[in-house]
Amino acid sequence: MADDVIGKSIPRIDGLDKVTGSAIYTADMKLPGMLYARMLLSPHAHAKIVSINTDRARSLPGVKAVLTGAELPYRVGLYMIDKPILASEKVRYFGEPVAAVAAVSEDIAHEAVGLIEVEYEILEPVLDAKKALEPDAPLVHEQLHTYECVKGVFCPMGGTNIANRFQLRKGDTEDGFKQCHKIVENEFYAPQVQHVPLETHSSIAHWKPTGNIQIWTSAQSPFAVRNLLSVALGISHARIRVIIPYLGGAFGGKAGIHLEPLVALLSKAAGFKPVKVTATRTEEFITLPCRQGLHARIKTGVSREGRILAQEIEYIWDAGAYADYGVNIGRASGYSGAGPYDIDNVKLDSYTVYTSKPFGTAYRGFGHVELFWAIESQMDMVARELEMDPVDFRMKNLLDVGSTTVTGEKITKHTGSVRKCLEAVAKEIGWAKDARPAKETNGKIRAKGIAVLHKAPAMPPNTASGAIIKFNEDTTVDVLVSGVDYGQGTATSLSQIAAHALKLPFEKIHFIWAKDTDYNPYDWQTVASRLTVMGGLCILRAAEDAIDQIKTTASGALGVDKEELDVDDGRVFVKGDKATGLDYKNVIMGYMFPNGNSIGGPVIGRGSYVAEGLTNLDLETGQGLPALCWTYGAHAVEIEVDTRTGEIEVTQLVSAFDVGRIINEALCRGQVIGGGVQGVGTALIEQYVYDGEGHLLSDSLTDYKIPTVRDVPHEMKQIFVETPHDKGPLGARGVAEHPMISVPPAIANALFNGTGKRIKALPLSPENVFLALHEDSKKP
Amino acid sequence: MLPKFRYLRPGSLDEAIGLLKDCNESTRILAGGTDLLIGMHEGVHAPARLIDIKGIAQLHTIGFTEDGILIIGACVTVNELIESDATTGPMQAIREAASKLATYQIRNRATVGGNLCNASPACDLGPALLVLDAQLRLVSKQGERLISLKDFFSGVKTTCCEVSEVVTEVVIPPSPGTVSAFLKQGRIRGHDLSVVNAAGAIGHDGDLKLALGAVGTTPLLIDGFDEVGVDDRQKVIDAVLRAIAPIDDVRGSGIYRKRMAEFMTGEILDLLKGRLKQGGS
Amino acid sequence: MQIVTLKVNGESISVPVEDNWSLLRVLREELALTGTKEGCGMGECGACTVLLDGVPINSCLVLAREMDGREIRTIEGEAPQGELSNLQQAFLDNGAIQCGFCTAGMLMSARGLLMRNPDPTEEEVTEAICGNLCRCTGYKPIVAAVLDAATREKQHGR
Repeated sequence: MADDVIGKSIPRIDGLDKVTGSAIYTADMKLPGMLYARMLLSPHAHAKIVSINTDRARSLPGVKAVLTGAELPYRVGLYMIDKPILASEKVRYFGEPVAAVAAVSEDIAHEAVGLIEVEYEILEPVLDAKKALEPDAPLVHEQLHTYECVKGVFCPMGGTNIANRFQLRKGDTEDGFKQCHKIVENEFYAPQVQHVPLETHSSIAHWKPTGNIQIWTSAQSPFAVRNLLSVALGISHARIRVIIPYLGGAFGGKAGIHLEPLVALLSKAAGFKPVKVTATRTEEFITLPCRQGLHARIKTGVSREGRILAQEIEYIWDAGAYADYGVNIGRASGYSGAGPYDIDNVKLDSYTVYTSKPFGTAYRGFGHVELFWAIESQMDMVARELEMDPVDFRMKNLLDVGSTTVTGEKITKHTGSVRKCLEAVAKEIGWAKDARPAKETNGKIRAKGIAVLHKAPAMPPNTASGAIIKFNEDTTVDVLVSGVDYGQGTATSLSQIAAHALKLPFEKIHFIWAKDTDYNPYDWQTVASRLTVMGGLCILRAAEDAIDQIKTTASGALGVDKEELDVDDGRVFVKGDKATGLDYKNVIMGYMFPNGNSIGGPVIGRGSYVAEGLTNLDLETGQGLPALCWTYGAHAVEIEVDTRTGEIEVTQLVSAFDVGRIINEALCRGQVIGGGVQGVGTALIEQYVYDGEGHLLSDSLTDYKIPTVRDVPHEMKQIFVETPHDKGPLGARGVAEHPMISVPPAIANALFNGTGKRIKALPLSPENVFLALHEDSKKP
Repeated sequence: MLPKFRYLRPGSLDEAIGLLKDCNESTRILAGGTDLLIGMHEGVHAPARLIDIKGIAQLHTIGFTEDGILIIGACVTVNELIESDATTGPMQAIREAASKLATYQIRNRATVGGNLCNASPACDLGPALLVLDAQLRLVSKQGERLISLKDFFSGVKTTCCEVSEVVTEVVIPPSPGTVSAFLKQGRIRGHDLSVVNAAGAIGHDGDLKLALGAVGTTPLLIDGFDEVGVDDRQKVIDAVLRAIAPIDDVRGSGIYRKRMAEFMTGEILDLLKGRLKQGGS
Repeated sequence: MQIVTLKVNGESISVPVEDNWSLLRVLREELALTGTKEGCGMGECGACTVLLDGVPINSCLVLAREMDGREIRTIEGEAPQGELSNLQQAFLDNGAIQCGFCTAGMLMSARGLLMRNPDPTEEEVTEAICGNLCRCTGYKPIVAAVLDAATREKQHGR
């Protein structure tokens, strides 16, 4: 066998299209006769729609369709079906679409939207998730008790603002706390933030007179769009075709379904003309989803020796106006929400709560960036309370082989090692136990901080994927999966797995880029760092199937038993005798004997995988097996804080992850660097800011800042631990989301270590840090 | 998306002021467009006519007169300010402010005249030019007038420039021996609007001038330092704190702005003293 | 409509435009040069960066009418014969690309830098791309790619 491609830093296969500007994204597409849609957005956070008059808009020349919520009696949603396509009866957040227009040009659509008159009766908005829980809080969804959701998994509480309640009970916390030497209780807060993909959401739909619907869209998951549209509109899956061209960043914000139903229905209303909508950057902020906010309360009891004996956790998720995806974040953060620690007694309640704000959805880490903000800040605070070194304290409590997780899962030698990750980053950053107090020079203080993390794919226990491998005449191979590569590099790493499994050179692999539900095999969604794992397993199985077909044909051709055959380097041959055999090219379209008789046929390998061995969780105790695989990690940072301005510079970020096995090292590093910087954004800068009425003020890139090239850590180092995962493809685990998790608490811990000031609400902006360091400044 | 308007591009100043003669508020002058076009995107402005003055050659020059007066044409771009030899020595604050303004791409379009006429309280060139006693030349069919920059700003995003007038140039009197400096504090290290900015200058006679942005309705020139020297640090800071009235907004609270104004005043004083010691920058 | 005449990637083109059309719109919608992206329309993200007479600008913030007689270079002009420039190759080799949506603007900012300064320092690269947002890569690989490209171009030209 030639060099194995596994572990090689092969440049991404989509790079050439992207550096030449020839990669076509949805926003770049134009169809003959295409119309342009614009939306009318709610100017209020919570209001009754008294009337809508669209007459003037409809009579504007060039307008082909106008829709309002009253005409669209549909609701959509992945886990909780709570989201209308256009608001009807009432609006639930500032920026919610109320009406939409399709016209021959964008300018006319824009003008027409301005001609729609809406009369609102303003209602009291609910702007704080904790206040939303109070008995007299206004209800965001009066009809919650009638909404459909995944049964036996979610617990909406009708008549309240609680979209889901998740609870977990392990051991006996009451008894546990009684044994404790010290009990430390704190509250933490993480505000809503946004994904900010460089490409805003864009969708084109063509509802044809035949009743078939074709959609091109900037979505993470073609099959999820197809399925949710099918369910919402009551149209057969076979009549809906969803195509995903190149996708300009997603991070969870393009998972599930967004603008696709609206443009589909506009297309139908406009007389079966294709309709396109591309969100403006402002719409991306105010209309499309963000990441949920989190109020966390953690009470930790420890023994004199520093063992955590009991922990009580309450997560209150600020879901915003809809929780179609958010309910599962509340659930995932519940079963994962005590961190990678071995604790006998845990009580955890996680509430997903409706408010009158833009709605939250999946965002890189799926709740874990937020919950680890709380957990890993708390762990340092507990360690300090015990006068223990934070690394030592964690080492005493981290999960190990033989430990049991909070849901009752046994940690094995295949699970991965969070300890190795923590050891590695502590060593690399030069962690010193007696580093405090830090020295101040010119008003600047340098200090270090650490934090650990874990996450498993958050998905239904029956999540499935498929792969097809088709040989071409020249022995190149088409690889079809439906996971979308929106920058992670998975297409390249999956191609490497295919080359490895088929024992072919990498150049032979033709990974089919565009995802098309008409041609590609099923895949649930490209989320949760699951594609390398589940797509990879499918490709291994499809390759095995293809090789079996090759051997079957070759067996007939050579008159040798199939079991006697082997493959390598594009050849099938008798084991130990490479000369006695056939080149793939003589087999993969069928073998022809000298007399013309032929056997076999085109080789088409098929691989399927459903997440195996998972269970739903007990609704009372949260016990069960929710995780296909855990990826562990740790960060260590060194920061320099300017006490005169409050500005934090991250001088070093060292990150370690147990990835099981590296498939493509450069792409892995790319994920860790990019995710680390996104974590710095959440830590230092990003937040949704509202006025008192619930209008989002940070609604542009002028007012909502993300890190620029000047805002990245000066030095970044990536360390990979490889504890092979027994169920992963070649031992691999996902590592797409993890780099972002626990960057914020590592920085906050460093800030504390340097200054003695603990900040419990994100972001650690210059202003927030300054005001914490100079508490007397709060007086005007 | 930009609203509909008519685009006009006069080739000379005479042509431009002729076009402006009978105009009302629905006409705007287009220079770099980096603020105006954004405002139009956001629906803040919807002018019926845009008069692009970049075709007027004389508005693009920068240089000193024989009398040592620095003349900066209204259409000189921010990057041209940075690249010009004229923004050294006493004029250092201009270069420093220009370097902190937005991004490289924006600076290739944004103009001196546009930045001042946009009159954002957080505008970066304002404080730097205020401490250098800059004046603006405003030309209309009726004639021309020279107005001090301090009097030019009249409120949040408003100026005393009439609809019929064009700001043609910034005029800065000679200031041999002066040292100047500019500092900016944003929410991030990369491109951001100023949470607070500050400029200072000390003349050859020891005369101190300070100006701060984003702490009031306009960039504020703070004077009254006749009795107070550069070494009376606390007195200078007190004078600054008395003069400013920062508000809370999405970029920062009034309290933080006040503390930053205090800190940056001290920093500016240190910078100026350092530059004086070096015999000018 | 008014006709404006532009030189785009070396080719002279006359195109009818409305007064309120941006250069970006004309490039994408009228000339089908969709390599240049719109990320915000407000000059904040840099995805629409093109070279105007060799100088990087945000094409969303200039009017097509202002461009009469000017020379524009877009991503499509970076490898006109299909042969990658050293800059493009360096982006590939340094992992400077993920989703690709910022890539065209980044490349144009970097090309502008290398045209005015063939031997930039890391700080100069940082300043040159500070107006280009990237949400995927964390920027480090992009800075490395531009520095790498400068070295290659000093040795081999574009």
